[in-house]
Amino acid sequence: MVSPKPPAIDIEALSFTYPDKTVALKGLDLKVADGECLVIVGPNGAGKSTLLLSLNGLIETEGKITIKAEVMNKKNLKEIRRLVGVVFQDPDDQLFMPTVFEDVAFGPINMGMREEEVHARVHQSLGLVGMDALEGRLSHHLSFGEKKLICIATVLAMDPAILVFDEPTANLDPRARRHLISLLMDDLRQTKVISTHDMNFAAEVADHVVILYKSKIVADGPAREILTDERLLLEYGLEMPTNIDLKS
Amino acid sequence: MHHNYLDRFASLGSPIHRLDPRIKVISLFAFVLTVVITPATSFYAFFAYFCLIMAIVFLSDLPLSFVFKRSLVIIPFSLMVGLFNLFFKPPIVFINMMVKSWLSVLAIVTLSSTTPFNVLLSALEALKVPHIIIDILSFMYRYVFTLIDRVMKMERARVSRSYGRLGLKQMSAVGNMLGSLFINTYERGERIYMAMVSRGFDGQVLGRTHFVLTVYDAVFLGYMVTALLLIRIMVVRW
Ligand SMILES: Nc1ncnc2c1ncn2[C@@H]1O[C@H](COP(=O)(O)OP(=O)(O)OP(=O)(O)O)[C@@H](O)[C@H]1O
Ligand SMILES: [Mg+2]
Repeated sequence: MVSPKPPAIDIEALSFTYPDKTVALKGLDLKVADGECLVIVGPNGAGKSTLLLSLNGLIETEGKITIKAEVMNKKNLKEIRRLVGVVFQDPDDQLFMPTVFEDVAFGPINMGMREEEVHARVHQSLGLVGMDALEGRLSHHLSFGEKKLICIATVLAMDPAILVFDEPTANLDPRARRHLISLLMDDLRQTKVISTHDMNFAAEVADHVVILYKSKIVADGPAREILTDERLLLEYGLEMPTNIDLKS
Repeated sequence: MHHNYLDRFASLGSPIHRLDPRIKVISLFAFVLTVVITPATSFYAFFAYFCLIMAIVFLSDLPLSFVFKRSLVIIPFSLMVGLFNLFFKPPIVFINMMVKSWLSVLAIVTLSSTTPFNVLLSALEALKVPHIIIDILSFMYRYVFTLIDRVMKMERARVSRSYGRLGLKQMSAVGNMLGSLFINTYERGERIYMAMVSRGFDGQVLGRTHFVLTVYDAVFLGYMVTALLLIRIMVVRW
Protein backbone atom coordinates (compact mmCIF):
# COMPACT_ATOMS: atom_id res chain seq x y z
CA MET A 1 0.00 0.00 0.00
CA VAL A 2 1.67 3.17 -1.18
CA SER A 3 -0.26 6.33 -0.48
CA PRO A 4 -0.31 8.82 -3.34
CA LYS A 5 0.68 11.79 -1.19
CA PRO A 6 4.07 11.95 0.52
CA PRO A 7 3.84 10.95 4.19
CA ALA A 8 3.17 13.69 6.73
CA ILE A 9 5.96 12.34 8.88
CA ASP A 10 8.87 10.25 7.72
CA ILE A 11 11.35 9.02 10.31
CA GLU A 12 14.53 7.20 9.38
CA ALA A 13 17.03 5.58 11.72
CA LEU A 14 16.00 7.70 14.69
CA SER A 15 18.01 7.17 17.87
CA PHE A 16 18.20 9.02 21.13
CA THR A 17 20.09 8.54 24.37
CA TYR A 18 19.40 10.68 27.44
CA PRO A 19 22.37 12.51 28.98
CA ASP A 20 22.44 9.93 31.79
CA LYS A 21 23.08 7.23 29.13
CA THR A 22 19.55 5.81 29.19
CA VAL A 23 18.84 4.64 25.67
CA ALA A 24 15.32 5.76 24.81
CA LEU A 25 15.09 5.28 21.03
CA LYS A 26 17.08 2.82 18.96
CA GLY A 27 17.02 3.07 15.18
CA LEU A 28 13.36 3.76 14.52
CA ASP A 29 11.89 3.86 11.02
CA LEU A 30 8.35 5.10 10.72
CA LYS A 31 6.05 6.69 8.15
CA VAL A 32 2.81 8.45 9.04
CA ALA A 33 0.50 9.02 6.10
CA ASP A 34 -1.15 12.38 5.60
CA GLY A 35 -4.44 12.64 7.48
CA GLU A 36 -4.19 9.36 9.34
CA CYS A 37 -4.31 8.74 13.05
CA LEU A 38 -1.29 6.83 14.32
CA VAL A 39 -1.46 5.36 17.79
CA ILE A 40 1.72 4.34 19.57
CA VAL A 41 1.34 1.73 22.29
CA GLY A 42 3.93 0.04 24.46
CA PRO A 43 4.76 -0.55 28.09
CA ASN A 44 6.05 2.09 30.52
CA GLY A 45 9.49 3.32 29.65
CA ALA A 46 9.31 2.04 26.07
CA GLY A 47 10.21 5.46 24.70
CA LYS A 48 6.82 6.76 23.57
CA SER A 49 7.09 10.18 25.17
CA THR A 50 10.64 10.55 23.93
CA LEU A 51 9.55 9.79 20.38
CA LEU A 52 6.83 12.42 20.59
CA LEU A 53 9.29 15.03 21.85
CA SER A 54 11.54 14.34 18.89
CA LEU A 55 8.72 15.19 16.48
CA ASN A 56 8.88 18.75 17.70
CA GLY A 57 12.63 19.03 17.74
CA LEU A 58 12.61 19.32 21.52
CA ILE A 59 15.46 16.85 21.91
CA GLU A 60 18.55 16.42 19.80
CA THR A 61 18.22 13.06 18.09
CA GLU A 62 20.31 11.13 15.63
CA GLY A 63 18.71 10.14 12.36
CA LYS A 64 16.44 11.92 9.97
CA ILE A 65 12.98 13.34 10.58
CA THR A 66 10.99 14.72 7.65
CA ILE A 67 7.83 16.66 8.39
CA LYS A 68 5.67 17.59 5.40
CA ALA A 69 8.61 17.19 3.03
CA GLU A 70 10.86 19.35 5.21
CA VAL A 71 13.89 17.69 6.72
CA MET A 72 14.17 18.85 10.31
CA ASN A 73 17.33 20.76 11.11
CA LYS A 74 18.39 23.47 13.54
CA LYS A 75 17.33 26.23 11.18
CA ASN A 76 13.76 25.28 10.45
CA LEU A 77 12.76 24.31 13.99
CA LYS A 78 10.41 27.25 14.30
CA GLU A 79 8.61 26.25 11.13
CA ILE A 80 8.50 22.59 12.23
CA ARG A 81 7.03 23.56 15.60
CA ARG A 82 4.34 25.47 13.81
CA LEU A 83 3.47 22.42 11.76
CA VAL A 84 3.52 20.03 14.70
CA GLY A 85 1.50 20.82 17.81
CA VAL A 86 2.20 18.77 20.92
CA VAL A 87 -0.29 18.23 23.73
CA PHE A 88 1.81 17.13 26.67
CA GLN A 89 0.72 14.62 29.25
CA ASP A 90 0.48 16.91 32.25
CA PRO A 91 -1.70 19.94 31.54
CA ASP A 92 0.02 21.82 34.35
CA ASP A 93 3.16 21.85 32.24
CA GLN A 94 1.37 23.29 29.28
CA LEU A 95 -0.82 25.92 30.88
CA PHE A 96 1.86 28.20 32.22
CA MET A 97 0.22 31.60 31.87
CA PRO A 98 -2.04 33.00 34.59
CA THR A 99 -5.26 33.04 32.55
CA VAL A 100 -6.77 30.76 29.96
CA PHE A 101 -6.88 33.55 27.41
CA GLU A 102 -3.20 34.40 27.80
CA ASP A 103 -2.33 30.74 27.51
CA VAL A 104 -4.21 30.15 24.30
CA ALA A 105 -2.92 33.44 22.91
CA PHE A 106 0.69 32.55 23.71
CA GLY A 107 1.35 30.64 20.48
CA PRO A 108 -0.39 33.06 18.10
CA ILE A 109 1.38 36.04 19.71
CA ASN A 110 4.74 34.34 19.28
CA MET A 111 3.84 33.72 15.67
CA GLY A 112 3.64 37.47 15.30
CA MET A 113 -0.09 37.78 14.68
CA ARG A 114 -1.95 41.04 15.00
CA GLU A 115 -4.14 41.56 18.03
CA GLU A 116 -7.52 41.01 16.33
CA GLU A 117 -6.18 37.91 14.70
CA VAL A 118 -4.96 36.60 18.05
CA HIS A 119 -8.40 37.17 19.55
CA ALA A 120 -10.06 35.41 16.64
CA ARG A 121 -7.74 32.43 16.98
CA VAL A 122 -8.34 32.19 20.71
CA HIS A 123 -12.13 32.26 20.33
CA GLN A 124 -12.06 29.80 17.51
CA SER A 125 -9.88 27.21 19.17
CA LEU A 126 -11.59 27.47 22.55
CA GLY A 127 -14.89 27.13 20.74
CA LEU A 128 -13.72 24.03 18.96
CA VAL A 129 -12.99 22.24 22.23
CA GLY A 130 -16.17 23.62 23.80
CA MET A 131 -14.41 25.75 26.40
CA ASP A 132 -15.22 29.27 25.19
CA ALA A 133 -16.92 30.08 28.47
CA LEU A 134 -13.64 29.72 30.37
CA GLU A 135 -11.65 32.33 28.48
CA GLY A 136 -11.19 34.72 31.38
CA ARG A 137 -10.58 32.09 34.03
CA LEU A 138 -7.35 31.45 35.87
CA SER A 139 -5.66 28.27 34.71
CA HIS A 140 -4.98 26.89 38.18
CA HIS A 141 -8.66 27.00 39.13
CA LEU A 142 -9.75 24.60 36.41
CA SER A 143 -10.61 20.92 36.67
CA PHE A 144 -8.27 18.40 35.14
CA GLY A 145 -10.58 17.67 32.22
CA GLU A 146 -11.01 21.37 31.48
CA LYS A 147 -7.27 21.89 31.62
CA LYS A 148 -6.75 19.06 29.16
CA LEU A 149 -9.18 20.53 26.65
CA ILE A 150 -7.61 23.95 27.01
CA CYS A 151 -4.20 22.44 26.37
CA ILE A 152 -5.60 21.14 23.11
CA ALA A 153 -6.93 24.62 22.35
CA THR A 154 -3.52 26.19 22.99
CA VAL A 155 -2.12 23.92 20.33
CA LEU A 156 -5.01 24.32 17.89
CA ALA A 157 -4.58 28.09 18.09
CA MET A 158 -1.35 27.68 16.16
CA ASP A 159 -3.20 25.84 13.40
CA PRO A 160 -0.77 22.92 13.12
CA ALA A 161 -0.99 20.34 10.35
CA ILE A 162 -0.01 17.53 12.69
CA LEU A 163 -1.31 17.00 16.21
CA VAL A 164 0.66 15.02 18.75
CA PHE A 165 -0.86 13.78 22.01
CA ASP A 166 0.93 12.09 24.89
CA GLU A 167 -1.50 9.86 26.78
CA PRO A 168 -4.48 12.13 26.25
CA THR A 169 -6.98 9.94 28.13
CA ALA A 170 -4.89 9.52 31.28
CA ASN A 171 -6.80 10.73 34.37
CA LEU A 172 -9.91 11.73 32.43
CA ASP A 173 -13.30 10.69 33.76
CA PRO A 174 -15.50 8.67 31.38
CA ARG A 175 -17.45 11.66 30.13
CA ALA A 176 -14.36 13.75 29.47
CA ARG A 177 -12.82 10.75 27.75
CA ARG A 178 -15.82 10.39 25.45
CA HIS A 179 -15.73 14.10 24.71
CA LEU A 180 -12.09 13.79 23.76
CA ILE A 181 -12.75 10.83 21.49
CA SER A 182 -15.53 12.60 19.64
CA LEU A 183 -13.33 15.67 19.32
CA LEU A 184 -10.53 13.60 17.83
CA MET A 185 -12.80 11.66 15.51
CA ASP A 186 -15.16 14.37 14.32
CA ASP A 187 -13.53 17.76 14.65
CA LEU A 188 -9.81 17.42 14.30
CA ARG A 189 -9.05 16.48 10.74
CA GLN A 190 -5.28 16.90 11.06
CA THR A 191 -2.77 14.09 10.95
CA LYS A 192 -2.55 12.73 14.48
CA VAL A 193 0.09 10.89 16.46
CA ILE A 194 -1.09 9.64 19.84
CA SER A 195 0.63 7.63 22.52
CA THR A 196 -1.57 5.74 24.96
CA HIS A 197 -1.97 2.85 27.38
CA ASP A 198 -5.73 2.90 26.83
CA MET A 199 -6.23 0.06 24.37
CA ASN A 200 -9.95 0.64 23.91
CA PHE A 201 -9.25 4.24 23.10
CA ALA A 202 -6.64 3.11 20.59
CA ALA A 203 -9.17 0.80 18.98
CA GLU A 204 -11.62 3.66 18.60
CA VAL A 205 -9.37 6.28 17.08
CA ALA A 206 -6.47 4.51 15.38
CA ASP A 207 -6.00 3.96 11.66
CA HIS A 208 -2.43 2.85 12.12
CA VAL A 209 -0.77 1.29 15.17
CA VAL A 210 2.84 0.97 16.20
CA ILE A 211 4.11 -1.04 19.15
CA LEU A 212 7.16 0.43 20.79
CA TYR A 213 9.04 -1.94 23.05
CA LYS A 214 12.39 -1.34 24.73
CA SER A 215 13.19 1.64 22.49
CA LYS A 216 12.38 -0.19 19.25
CA ILE A 217 9.43 -0.51 16.93
CA VAL A 218 8.41 -4.15 17.11
CA ALA A 219 5.16 -3.97 15.16
CA ASP A 220 3.81 -1.49 12.62
CA GLY A 221 0.61 -1.92 10.65
CA PRO A 222 -3.06 -1.12 10.17
CA ALA A 223 -4.94 -0.76 13.44
CA ARG A 224 -7.25 -3.73 12.86
CA GLU A 225 -4.41 -6.05 12.10
CA ILE A 226 -2.35 -5.21 15.16
CA LEU A 227 -5.09 -4.70 17.71
CA THR A 228 -6.67 -8.07 16.92
CA ASP A 229 -3.43 -10.00 17.17
CA GLU A 230 -3.71 -11.15 20.76
CA ARG A 231 -0.47 -13.10 20.78
CA LEU A 232 1.50 -10.16 19.53
CA LEU A 233 -0.05 -7.81 22.06
CA LEU A 234 0.49 -10.16 24.99
CA GLU A 235 4.08 -10.74 23.96
CA TYR A 236 4.81 -7.07 24.49
CA GLY A 237 2.92 -6.74 27.73
CA LEU A 238 -0.22 -5.27 26.23
CA GLU A 239 -3.84 -6.36 26.18
CA MET A 240 -6.36 -6.74 23.44
CA PRO A 241 -8.98 -3.99 23.35
CA THR A 242 -12.36 -5.23 24.53
CA ASN A 243 -14.24 -3.10 22.05
CA ILE A 244 -12.38 -4.12 18.94
CA ASP A 245 -15.42 -4.77 16.77
CA LEU A 246 -16.83 -1.32 17.45
CA LYS A 247 -14.73 0.23 14.73
CA SER A 248 -15.52 -1.10 11.31
CA MET B 1 -10.43 25.59 48.15
CA HIS B 2 -7.19 27.28 49.02
CA HIS B 3 -6.85 28.26 45.39
CA ASN B 4 -8.78 31.44 45.85
CA TYR B 5 -6.68 32.55 48.76
CA LEU B 6 -4.52 35.03 46.91
CA ASP B 7 -7.16 37.17 45.29
CA ARG B 8 -10.44 36.22 46.82
CA PHE B 9 -12.06 39.64 46.49
CA ALA B 10 -10.17 40.75 43.43
CA SER B 11 -13.06 40.42 41.03
CA LEU B 12 -15.69 42.51 42.82
CA GLY B 13 -16.97 45.49 40.82
CA SER B 14 -16.47 48.47 43.14
CA PRO B 15 -15.24 51.89 41.94
CA ILE B 16 -11.78 50.95 43.17
CA HIS B 17 -11.84 47.63 41.38
CA ARG B 18 -12.73 49.41 38.17
CA LEU B 19 -9.78 51.77 38.31
CA ASP B 20 -7.02 51.36 35.78
CA PRO B 21 -4.51 49.07 37.53
CA ARG B 22 -1.63 51.33 36.50
CA ILE B 23 -3.25 54.18 38.39
CA LYS B 24 -3.59 51.96 41.41
CA VAL B 25 0.06 50.95 41.28
CA ILE B 26 1.18 54.56 40.93
CA SER B 27 -1.12 55.65 43.77
CA LEU B 28 0.29 52.91 45.95
CA PHE B 29 3.82 54.06 45.33
CA ALA B 30 2.88 57.67 45.95
CA PHE B 31 1.18 56.67 49.18
CA VAL B 32 4.02 54.54 50.49
CA LEU B 33 6.62 57.12 49.53
CA THR B 34 4.74 59.94 51.25
CA VAL B 35 4.22 57.87 54.37
CA VAL B 36 7.88 56.95 54.51
CA ILE B 37 9.13 60.53 54.23
CA THR B 38 6.76 61.88 56.88
CA PRO B 39 8.57 62.84 60.10
CA ALA B 40 8.24 60.29 62.87
CA THR B 41 6.42 62.58 65.29
CA SER B 42 3.60 63.77 62.99
CA PHE B 43 0.97 61.58 64.50
CA TYR B 44 -1.87 63.60 63.03
CA ALA B 45 -0.45 62.99 59.60
CA PHE B 46 -0.33 59.26 60.19
CA PHE B 47 -3.88 59.36 61.40
CA ALA B 48 -4.84 61.23 58.22
CA TYR B 49 -3.09 58.64 56.06
CA PHE B 50 -4.98 55.97 57.91
CA CYS B 51 -8.28 57.76 57.22
CA LEU B 52 -7.36 58.08 53.57
CA ILE B 53 -6.68 54.40 53.17
CA MET B 54 -9.84 53.55 55.11
CA ALA B 55 -11.85 55.73 52.75
CA ILE B 56 -10.48 53.74 49.84
CA VAL B 57 -11.19 50.43 51.57
CA PHE B 58 -14.72 51.66 52.22
CA LEU B 59 -15.17 52.53 48.53
CA SER B 60 -13.82 49.17 47.49
CA ASP B 61 -16.46 47.03 49.28
CA LEU B 62 -13.75 44.94 50.89
CA PRO B 63 -14.70 43.54 54.29
CA LEU B 64 -12.82 45.63 56.84
CA SER B 65 -11.96 42.58 58.93
CA PHE B 66 -10.39 40.94 55.89
CA VAL B 67 -8.15 43.92 55.21
CA PHE B 68 -7.05 44.16 58.82
CA LYS B 69 -6.41 40.48 59.15
CA ARG B 70 -4.38 40.45 55.99
CA SER B 71 -2.38 43.46 57.06
CA LEU B 72 -1.31 41.73 60.26
CA VAL B 73 0.79 39.31 58.24
CA ILE B 74 3.57 41.85 58.21
CA ILE B 75 3.58 42.43 61.97
CA PRO B 76 5.95 39.58 62.93
CA PHE B 77 8.51 40.81 60.44
CA SER B 78 8.40 44.48 61.31
CA LEU B 79 8.21 43.57 64.98
CA MET B 80 11.43 41.61 64.68
CA VAL B 81 13.30 44.45 63.06
CA GLY B 82 11.60 47.00 65.28
CA LEU B 83 12.35 45.25 68.57
CA PHE B 84 15.95 44.91 67.55
CA ASN B 85 16.05 48.68 67.08
CA LEU B 86 14.56 49.21 70.51
CA PHE B 87 17.89 48.24 72.06
CA PHE B 88 19.83 50.98 70.34
CA LYS B 89 17.43 53.79 69.55
CA PRO B 90 14.72 55.77 71.35
CA PRO B 91 11.25 54.17 71.38
CA ILE B 92 9.92 56.67 68.84
CA VAL B 93 11.97 54.92 66.17
CA PHE B 94 10.26 51.67 66.99
CA ILE B 95 6.80 53.22 66.95
CA ASN B 96 7.61 54.99 63.73
CA MET B 97 8.66 51.78 62.04
CA MET B 98 5.58 49.91 63.14
CA VAL B 99 3.20 52.66 62.08
CA LYS B 100 4.79 53.21 58.70
CA SER B 101 5.07 49.55 57.83
CA TRP B 102 1.52 48.89 58.87
CA LEU B 103 0.14 51.81 56.86
CA SER B 104 2.10 50.67 53.82
CA VAL B 105 0.89 47.13 54.17
CA LEU B 106 -2.70 48.31 54.50
CA ALA B 107 -2.30 50.07 51.17
CA ILE B 108 -0.68 47.05 49.55
CA VAL B 109 -3.42 44.75 50.81
CA THR B 110 -6.02 47.12 49.42
CA LEU B 111 -4.33 47.13 46.04
CA SER B 112 -3.80 43.39 45.86
CA SER B 113 -7.35 42.63 46.98
CA THR B 114 -8.93 44.92 44.41
CA THR B 115 -6.83 43.83 41.44
CA PRO B 116 -6.54 40.33 40.02
CA PHE B 117 -2.91 39.30 40.10
CA ASN B 118 -2.59 38.81 36.36
CA VAL B 119 -4.00 42.29 35.77
CA LEU B 120 -1.51 43.65 38.26
CA LEU B 121 1.27 42.00 36.28
CA SER B 122 0.01 43.58 33.08
CA ALA B 123 -0.02 46.93 34.83
CA LEU B 124 3.57 46.48 35.96
CA GLU B 125 4.49 45.57 32.43
CA ALA B 126 2.79 48.66 31.09
CA LEU B 127 4.76 50.66 33.67
CA LYS B 128 7.97 49.26 32.18
CA VAL B 129 8.97 46.95 35.00
CA PRO B 130 11.57 44.56 33.48
CA HIS B 131 10.12 41.51 31.74
CA ILE B 132 12.18 39.06 33.69
CA ILE B 133 10.68 40.19 36.99
CA ILE B 134 7.15 40.03 35.64
CA ASP B 135 7.73 36.59 34.18
CA ILE B 136 9.11 35.31 37.47
CA LEU B 137 6.11 36.69 39.36
CA SER B 138 3.78 35.29 36.77
CA PHE B 139 5.21 31.78 36.98
CA MET B 140 5.29 31.98 40.74
CA TYR B 141 1.61 32.89 40.82
CA ARG B 142 0.75 30.15 38.37
CA TYR B 143 2.69 27.38 40.09
CA VAL B 144 2.64 28.18 43.77
CA PHE B 145 -0.44 26.01 44.29
CA THR B 146 0.92 23.17 42.22
CA LEU B 147 3.93 23.30 44.48
CA ILE B 148 1.84 23.42 47.66
CA ASP B 149 -0.20 20.46 46.44
CA ARG B 150 2.98 18.54 45.84
CA VAL B 151 4.26 19.29 49.33
CA MET B 152 0.95 18.24 50.83
CA LYS B 153 1.00 14.95 48.92
CA MET B 154 4.54 14.21 50.06
CA GLU B 155 3.67 15.08 53.62
CA ARG B 156 0.71 12.72 53.50
CA ALA B 157 2.89 9.97 52.13
CA ARG B 158 5.40 10.55 54.93
CA VAL B 159 2.79 10.63 57.66
CA SER B 160 1.11 7.49 56.40
CA ARG B 161 4.36 5.59 56.73
CA SER B 162 5.62 7.05 59.97
CA TYR B 163 2.53 6.97 62.18
CA GLY B 164 2.47 10.73 62.24
CA ARG B 165 5.48 11.27 64.44
CA LEU B 166 8.03 13.86 63.49
CA GLY B 167 10.96 13.04 65.69
CA LEU B 168 14.66 13.51 65.16
CA LYS B 169 14.78 10.32 63.11
CA GLN B 170 12.26 11.81 60.73
CA MET B 171 14.49 14.72 59.96
CA SER B 172 16.29 12.79 57.27
CA ALA B 173 12.90 12.08 55.70
CA VAL B 174 12.23 15.79 55.61
CA GLY B 175 15.60 16.34 54.00
CA ASN B 176 14.78 13.78 51.36
CA MET B 177 11.45 15.44 50.77
CA LEU B 178 13.15 18.75 50.16
CA GLY B 179 15.58 17.12 47.77
CA SER B 180 12.92 15.38 45.78
CA LEU B 181 10.83 18.54 45.77
CA PHE B 182 13.76 20.36 44.27
CA ILE B 183 14.23 17.76 41.56
CA ASN B 184 10.52 17.71 40.89
CA THR B 185 10.43 21.45 40.49
CA TYR B 186 13.49 21.43 38.34
CA GLU B 187 12.07 18.81 36.02
CA ARG B 188 8.75 20.55 35.84
CA GLY B 189 10.61 23.68 34.86
CA GLU B 190 12.21 21.78 32.04
CA ARG B 191 8.90 20.40 30.85
CA ILE B 192 7.29 23.83 30.99
CA TYR B 193 10.16 25.23 29.01
CA MET B 194 9.63 22.56 26.37
CA ALA B 195 5.95 23.37 26.21
CA MET B 196 6.84 27.04 25.76
CA VAL B 197 9.41 26.39 23.09
CA SER B 198 7.05 24.17 21.18
CA ARG B 199 4.66 27.08 20.96
CA GLY B 200 7.20 29.44 19.51
CA PHE B 201 8.78 30.92 22.66
CA ASP B 202 12.11 32.51 21.94
CA GLY B 203 13.15 34.31 25.06
CA GLN B 204 10.40 36.77 25.84
CA VAL B 205 6.82 36.40 26.93
CA LEU B 206 5.04 38.90 24.76
CA GLY B 207 2.02 41.13 25.00
CA ARG B 208 -0.42 41.02 27.85
CA THR B 209 -3.57 43.09 28.23
CA HIS B 210 -3.69 46.70 27.16
CA PHE B 211 -5.36 49.43 29.17
CA VAL B 212 -7.09 52.63 28.30
CA LEU B 213 -7.01 55.52 30.75
CA THR B 214 -10.34 57.21 31.42
CA VAL B 215 -11.20 60.56 32.96
CA TYR B 216 -12.31 58.68 36.04
CA ASP B 217 -8.79 57.28 36.48
CA ALA B 218 -7.24 60.69 36.10
CA VAL B 219 -9.64 62.13 38.65
CA PHE B 220 -8.81 59.41 41.15
CA LEU B 221 -5.10 59.97 40.74
CA GLY B 222 -5.66 63.70 41.10
CA TYR B 223 -7.56 63.23 44.36
CA MET B 224 -5.00 60.84 45.66
CA VAL B 225 -2.01 63.07 44.99
CA THR B 226 -3.79 66.14 46.34
CA ALA B 227 -4.79 64.33 49.50
CA LEU B 228 -1.28 63.07 50.07
CA LEU B 229 0.27 66.46 49.45
CA LEU B 230 -2.21 68.17 51.72
CA ILE B 231 -1.57 65.78 54.53
CA ARG B 232 2.16 65.88 54.05
CA ILE B 233 2.37 69.68 54.01
CA MET B 234 -0.49 70.90 56.15
CA VAL B 235 -0.84 68.35 58.89
CA VAL B 236 2.86 67.93 59.46
CA ARG B 237 3.30 71.67 60.00
CA TRP B 238 0.29 71.88 62.24
N1 LIG C 1 14.70 13.18 31.40
C1 LIG C 1 15.14 11.92 31.35
N2 LIG C 1 16.40 11.62 31.70
C2 LIG C 1 16.86 10.36 31.65
N3 LIG C 1 16.13 9.31 31.25
C3 LIG C 1 14.87 9.52 30.88
C4 LIG C 1 14.30 10.83 30.91
N4 LIG C 1 13.02 10.75 30.49
C5 LIG C 1 12.81 9.45 30.21
N5 LIG C 1 13.92 8.70 30.43
C6 LIG C 1 14.06 7.25 30.21
O1 LIG C 1 13.92 6.99 28.84
C7 LIG C 1 13.17 5.81 28.63
C8 LIG C 1 11.95 6.12 27.79
O2 LIG C 1 11.09 6.98 28.52
P1 LIG C 1 9.73 7.54 27.97
O3 LIG C 1 9.26 8.54 28.94
O4 LIG C 1 9.90 7.96 26.57
O5 LIG C 1 8.81 6.23 28.03
P2 LIG C 1 7.26 6.12 27.78
O6 LIG C 1 7.08 5.04 26.78
O7 LIG C 1 6.66 7.41 27.49
O8 LIG C 1 6.77 5.58 29.17
P3 LIG C 1 5.37 5.85 29.92
O9 LIG C 1 4.39 4.94 29.28
O10 LIG C 1 5.65 5.43 31.32
O11 LIG C 1 5.04 7.28 29.78
C9 LIG C 1 12.85 5.28 30.01
O12 LIG C 1 13.78 4.28 30.33
C10 LIG C 1 13.00 6.45 30.92
O13 LIG C 1 13.42 6.05 32.19
MG1 LIG D 1 5.32 8.70 28.50
